Amino acid sequence: MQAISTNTRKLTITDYLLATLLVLITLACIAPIWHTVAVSLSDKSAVEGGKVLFVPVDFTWNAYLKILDDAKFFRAFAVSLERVVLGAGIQFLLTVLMAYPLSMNSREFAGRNIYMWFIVFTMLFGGGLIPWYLVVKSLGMLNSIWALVIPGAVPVFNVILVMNFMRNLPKELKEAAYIDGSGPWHLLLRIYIPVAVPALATVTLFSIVAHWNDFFQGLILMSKPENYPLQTYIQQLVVQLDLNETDSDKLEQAAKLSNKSLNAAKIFVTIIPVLLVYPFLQRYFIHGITLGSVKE
Amino acid sequence: MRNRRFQFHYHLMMLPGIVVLCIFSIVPMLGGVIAFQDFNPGLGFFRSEWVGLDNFRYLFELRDSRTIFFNTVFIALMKMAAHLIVPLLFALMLHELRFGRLKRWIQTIVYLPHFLSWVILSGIVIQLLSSEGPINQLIVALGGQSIMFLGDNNWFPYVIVASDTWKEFGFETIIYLAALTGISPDLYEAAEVDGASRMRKLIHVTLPGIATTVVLLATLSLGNILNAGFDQIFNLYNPLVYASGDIIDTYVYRVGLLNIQYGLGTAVGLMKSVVSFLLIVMSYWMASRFANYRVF
Amino acid sequence: MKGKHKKIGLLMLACSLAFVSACNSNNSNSGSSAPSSASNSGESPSAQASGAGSETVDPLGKYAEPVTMTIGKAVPPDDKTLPEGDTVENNQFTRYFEEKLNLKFKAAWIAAQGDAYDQKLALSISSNDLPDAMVVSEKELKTMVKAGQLEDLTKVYEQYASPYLKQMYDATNGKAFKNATFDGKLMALPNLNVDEDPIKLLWVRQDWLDKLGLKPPQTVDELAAIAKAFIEQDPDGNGKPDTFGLLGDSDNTFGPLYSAYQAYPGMWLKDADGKVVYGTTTPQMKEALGKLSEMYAQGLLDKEYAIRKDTSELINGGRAGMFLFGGWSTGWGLYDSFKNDPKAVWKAYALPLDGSGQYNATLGPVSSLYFVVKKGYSNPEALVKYLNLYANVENDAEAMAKLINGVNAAYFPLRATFVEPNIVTNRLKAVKEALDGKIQPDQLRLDQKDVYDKVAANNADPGKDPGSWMYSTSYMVGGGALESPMNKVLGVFYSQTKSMELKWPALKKMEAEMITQIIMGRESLDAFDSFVAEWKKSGGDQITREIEEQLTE
Repeated sequence: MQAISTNTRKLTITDYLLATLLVLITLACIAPIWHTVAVSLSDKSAVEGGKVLFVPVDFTWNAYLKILDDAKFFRAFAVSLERVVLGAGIQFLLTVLMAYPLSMNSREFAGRNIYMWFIVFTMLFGGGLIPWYLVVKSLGMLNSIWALVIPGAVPVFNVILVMNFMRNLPKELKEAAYIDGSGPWHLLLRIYIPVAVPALATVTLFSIVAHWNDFFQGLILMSKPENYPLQTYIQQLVVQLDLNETDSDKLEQAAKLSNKSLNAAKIFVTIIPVLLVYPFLQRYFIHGITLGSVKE
Repeated sequence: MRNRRFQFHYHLMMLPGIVVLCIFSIVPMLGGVIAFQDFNPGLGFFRSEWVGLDNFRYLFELRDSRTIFFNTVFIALMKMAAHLIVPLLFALMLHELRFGRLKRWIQTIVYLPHFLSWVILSGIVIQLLSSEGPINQLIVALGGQSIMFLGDNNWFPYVIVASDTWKEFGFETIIYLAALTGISPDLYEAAEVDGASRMRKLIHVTLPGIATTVVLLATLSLGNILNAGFDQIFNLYNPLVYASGDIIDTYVYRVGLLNIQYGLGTAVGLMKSVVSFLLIVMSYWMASRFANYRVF
Repeated sequence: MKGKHKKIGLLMLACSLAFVSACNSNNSNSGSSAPSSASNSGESPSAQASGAGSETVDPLGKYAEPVTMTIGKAVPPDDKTLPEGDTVENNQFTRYFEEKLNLKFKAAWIAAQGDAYDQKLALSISSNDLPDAMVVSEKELKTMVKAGQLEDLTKVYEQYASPYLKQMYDATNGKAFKNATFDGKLMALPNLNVDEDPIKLLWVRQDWLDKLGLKPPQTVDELAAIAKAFIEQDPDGNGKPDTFGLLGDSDNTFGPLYSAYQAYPGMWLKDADGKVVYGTTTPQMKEALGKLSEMYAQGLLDKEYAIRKDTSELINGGRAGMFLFGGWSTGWGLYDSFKNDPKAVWKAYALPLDGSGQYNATLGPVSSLYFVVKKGYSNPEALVKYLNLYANVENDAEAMAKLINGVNAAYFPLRATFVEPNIVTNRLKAVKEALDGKIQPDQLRLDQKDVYDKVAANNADPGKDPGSWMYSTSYMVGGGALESPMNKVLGVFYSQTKSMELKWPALKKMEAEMITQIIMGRESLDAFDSFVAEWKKSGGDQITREIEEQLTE
């Protein structure tokens, strides 16, 4: 059955007002990014002098050229890439595997409530940094990609989100499948996953971004800077020049390092890959795929 | 009964995730015992001196205990509310937008501030709110007096909440958008057929459709009741606004500057966990009892 | 929300112990020390090698068999000065020690200088997973001593320290060792800070002074007048009222201004009666605050100084011409000011003077970093031997030639400032003599020649090479100001007492709030008196007593 498209209605003044409002808000969001880009394309001294706002001053590609020249940057990039692929992949797997049974009610799945409270509990409680670190260490994972990927393999928040989404799907889905003689795996793979795509796309995005953005785990779990993921590598480079520093040694080091233009470039460069991946996931939660109808 | 057959499979699906959680969440929790010890890394877990609730007592007996607790809860509550309402409104507005391409661009861009760290953003916020910044210039142009937002206890908490909301609303918008796609278009059709206006459709179809998601997010956000946002506040506060901006985490951080603090940090973490857990349990129970609804 | 709770561990660096660490506690993770100790026939495995072995005690002697030491290494993050093929574990510095002592280094972990290193260090200590030797600050030292993680170095210092090393430490009159000694035992070897580093100076745009026909301010009132002129008389000549008077920073560092009133906030001193007093609570402080609040009210200070986190933009952007929070080395941060405006000339002065016409310069602690050795390490004397050479590099022409050649000195395996206290003015003196032709450049000590080369290069073509400009400005301008006569004020106590652990954060908070509120006019000067009373009551008196006790020990 073809949906009656709401698009046949004429555009009203409300539509334009709404669009304007949203665009204004959007501009407010893009402003700092724009500023960062402008800084990255400006001459270092102009930036240090606070002269750059939204337009590059003394336009130069220097910052980006310097990045391309830096082998460490690419190595960190590769580490992050590996981490995202493995990490988001494993998280996706475990999210789906857990959200689906949890989306059943307690009649269909005895013990469901226990599992549910169990994972909520783990989301809220922890023993602190050191015991966690020691567990990872005792499993021999330190300084390997697995340390970045396995300990956080169950993203509980994501699991709950997807569980909730699945729980809200029409019961008819399940009923129809059972009548057809489907088993739980079949139901999961053939029906639930395709239908839950908006939620899955959302949490996949979160997974990817979380792995991509993390710097702290990269710092404490890797003992050699060669193994740092990208954000960890960049984090240590964003040094603020503090003229208040009493240790001349430290001040000298900071002065050599402090390059706001380069820092801005590095930050922007870490955003780019996410921007590239983003559209592919976006279409799933903007438009969605729902049963039997085509939207927009 | 098919349910019994399926049980085994459900348990199987849960297994890998539960194993990971046990190893990396439950086991480290045992180390939380530090909160009750005068922990000495040389003596370790078994031999460090037991001090009972001393670490907690310290937190409550500070001169500024009341202030920092109040600030923490005040700011955290406002953030919770803002993080619930603003993304919801924005998602609804975006949902209503009729310009498809624009919709996707807007949604992508508002997500970007999430990627900037507070180290970077604080510089931008400071400049924005300075006496020479655009906001004050606007105020003066309209005939008012320049306000030192970051130096005024009346404004500081709101600045914190507003800037944080601005940074993160794009993230939560995605969740709502995904939930919105889950609403069957048939419902909209039916409403259309019944002659419902845009507003009525919003109230009677859209909102109920995402109600479960809203409730879920609201409940889970209770987990952050004592997290006022260390990173952000640390980068933005100064002695002028200690009275309204000093939170538990920033205070504990300053204590940690003098000595490595084991027990105190873990005690604070434990306290946060317990409070969060209790609140979540309470809301779950209330929803269950009064609305006959299982939040998760 | 998700996983954020793990992040909380970050700021607390809370440590809990997993069951595993109990097994871990004394297991050396530095596997490499085990084989080497076996081959070091003469040395007994325990620390106190009281000549019990057949190897003679030779401070500078080479080990018969190679000894390996694992370290936690801080590296400069973006550094490109290592030649091709060299690594953190194998570079000119490590090779030098290997050649001289047969001492090899391995890195247990490597982290960038600064925050990253501190985090890793704290984690290492907390999980009881230590390299053989490290450089730590006082905070970590105390924790490690309490945890019994460190080797007692008293005997090995006695036996293995070279005369020169002992001389350097003795020159501090015991001050260096004070914080490194616990219960009469020397648990660490402290570094030696440059005396001159913490001294704050007045940095001012000389070209602005010249343009407005002003002289460097001898008194605080003159300084205020200059601030006023800078604001009102458009020294940057662009027709816009965009210039600042006196800049401040959010730490309320107006150092020399306080000193001009003989007020020393943040420092522990002895008053006229010989009693210990905290600088911020003295009546002189009240006077200084009065002046500062007056200046603020008149708009002479940066209105938003307490909020501004980045003053360098104003300085390098040519909008600010005067600040008091920089030391001699500020030159390293001023290059962009020159680049943006080649006519900008920054000068440093030991000004303003106090009522009796002298400049009071505040000093910092003699030591702030400590070389430590893990308990149970087979060769603690290796650290002493390392320091023997390390301390002597500047006096050893051969060492200098091999080591001071453009590669970042941060690659020394264990690195902390370890120099004569007045090295800046010493170098400056030598450089000036060479510039005047009194001595030949080649006769200079290598580290002095290094500075000379850079100054000469900058003189030849000012500003062309940023590094040379920075060196030149720091030494000639900043260092030059240090040559003025000064009354050096040394604190009596730079550490922590027992009560401070619990009470100091609250006291510090009170202090910061009070100072900022008074200066910015939100509280009247009377708030100072109530602060002092409250401060004393809330633990200040107790802490003062504890310090007095410690000093009489």
